[in-house]
Amino acid sequence: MTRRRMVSTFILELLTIASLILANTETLFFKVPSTFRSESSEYDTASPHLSLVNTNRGTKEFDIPIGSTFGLELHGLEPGDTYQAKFCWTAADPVDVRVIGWALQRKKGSPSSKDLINVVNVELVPFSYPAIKTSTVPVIVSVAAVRLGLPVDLYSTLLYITLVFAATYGVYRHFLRSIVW
Amino acid sequence: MNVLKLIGVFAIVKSIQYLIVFLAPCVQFDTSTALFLSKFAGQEEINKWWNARLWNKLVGWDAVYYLKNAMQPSLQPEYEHENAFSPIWSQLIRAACLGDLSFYHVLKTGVIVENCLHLGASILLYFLTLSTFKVNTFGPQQRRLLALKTAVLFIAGSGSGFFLGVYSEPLSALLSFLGLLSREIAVEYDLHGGLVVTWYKWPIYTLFSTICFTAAFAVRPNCILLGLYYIFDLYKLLTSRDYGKAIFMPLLSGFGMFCFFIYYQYYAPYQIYCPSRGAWCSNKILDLPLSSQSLYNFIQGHYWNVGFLRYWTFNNIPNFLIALPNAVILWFSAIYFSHQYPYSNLKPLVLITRFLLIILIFFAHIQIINRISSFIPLHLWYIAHRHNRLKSMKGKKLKGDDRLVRFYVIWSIFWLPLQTALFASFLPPA
Repeated sequence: MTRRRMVSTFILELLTIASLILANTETLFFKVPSTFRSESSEYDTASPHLSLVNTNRGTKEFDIPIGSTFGLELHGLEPGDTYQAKFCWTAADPVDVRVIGWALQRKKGSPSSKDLINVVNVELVPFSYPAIKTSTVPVIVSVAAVRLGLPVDLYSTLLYITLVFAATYGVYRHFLRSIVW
Repeated sequence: MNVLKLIGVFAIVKSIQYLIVFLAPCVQFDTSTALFLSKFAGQEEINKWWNARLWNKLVGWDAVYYLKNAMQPSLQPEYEHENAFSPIWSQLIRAACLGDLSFYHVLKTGVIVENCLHLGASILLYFLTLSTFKVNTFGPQQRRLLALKTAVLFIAGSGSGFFLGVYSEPLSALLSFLGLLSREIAVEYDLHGGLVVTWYKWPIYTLFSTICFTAAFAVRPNCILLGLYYIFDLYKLLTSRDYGKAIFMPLLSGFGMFCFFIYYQYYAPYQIYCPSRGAWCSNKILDLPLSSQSLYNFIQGHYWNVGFLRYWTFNNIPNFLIALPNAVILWFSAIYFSHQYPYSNLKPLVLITRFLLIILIFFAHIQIINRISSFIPLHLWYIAHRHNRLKSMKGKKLKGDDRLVRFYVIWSIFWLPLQTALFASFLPPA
């Protein structure tokens, strides 16, 4: 394993750990097999789907039913790429995730067993007393390609945090150090 | 004069923090804020320039619960677990809104009240420090410097990133400091470290400090530890055979606090939820309308997996690392004021600090130490005390406490803006 790859893997591990800490967000990392090929380029847009055609990230809001598995088709994923799928719902809707996963499934109505599509599945369950009254919960699903061990939609935030850190260092070195010490 | 300085420091620190929030990318890591906003406000309102760039970014983590409770049509939270997020603090925001419960009005009012409370607590801490160290060997100038540094450390503390929004800690800190100050005014110590308290200070001790500590507990349950003051004082008065004062001062105060604890955590929730709720309602105490488990305890265990060693898992190592500076500084402050500077009036606070640390390490989500330790000032006094000495040690190699304090201060300088940026981006730690 090259050093760059090791660093990427390490960052990915850290991110996975961090994602587990979040309360109303569930994240999932998955890798599309490099041998993955969809026989037809036509996508079924009648089913819940998120398109990443010609882009490396996508975000969409869905009303996800409580108590049953919700499958979301992901269109335009690149073979061999790693992706992060993120499900965010508001704390005002007290639900929990029972099942979350990624799978390659055969396209609906397709006769060919090789005509596969990427699907992320999630099952929400009520988690409160009294139980939530609505049958669906709005959830924002974001899918982003992982580059250098980081989801691309996190780059702007990480860049900003780095800038804040650098600015703090500059302020400390040139002003605060002489005042504080 | 120093109070004016404090107000100036507060204004500068908060301005920098709000600038960091303002400049943060509008797309947060956790995108659930958009869903919360759309439940309570119109899209046009949400997308307004200032709302999109500043106010919306303050609606993250626990703020969601406080705001939701404040906007509830009834005083009772909608769901059981929302009782863990100080309904009293939410009611205070609601009262400050003067009837207008539109979302952005509630949010802005909450933020203004939060800032006022944070500033108020800082000023109170300044006077509490002056009062606490008046019996010690410091000169007036040194004492004022110590008080100023302590208050500045509180303003730019490790939880201050959260206190930009709508969190309950500044209110609990203000009530805690007020209670500590009133007790400090009421009691004195003799040469042997014995407790001396005069009858004419009974109202300050038994009424005022009890009300403050009890209210602090109602806002944040961890403030129940302040009750250890009364146990400590009771022990001191009993050993000096001052039975009258022992009964009518610490025993009465502690009993009052205990009664409120039973009412607030056991009796009142039982009236609302039981017996239909089942679960925590099932086991009663001696057929009384009280469950054997408190509602808060149940909520923490059931919804947030709080319990003995439950947080000690591999994936929580980053949280332990985030908490490490404060855990270390709290522990060393307790040692410092127990052995190196064993001031009699700080003994109860040393005990409280130790208890808090043990609870946080073994039972709670450890990273919350960064904000919930704000109700006790012992570690701030330790840092300020050692920092006073550091100025005279320029060029010398630092060891022990001095080295630790230097590290902590540098960590704080970097942590405050970093944590503010993380909070604005809706990234952990919570």
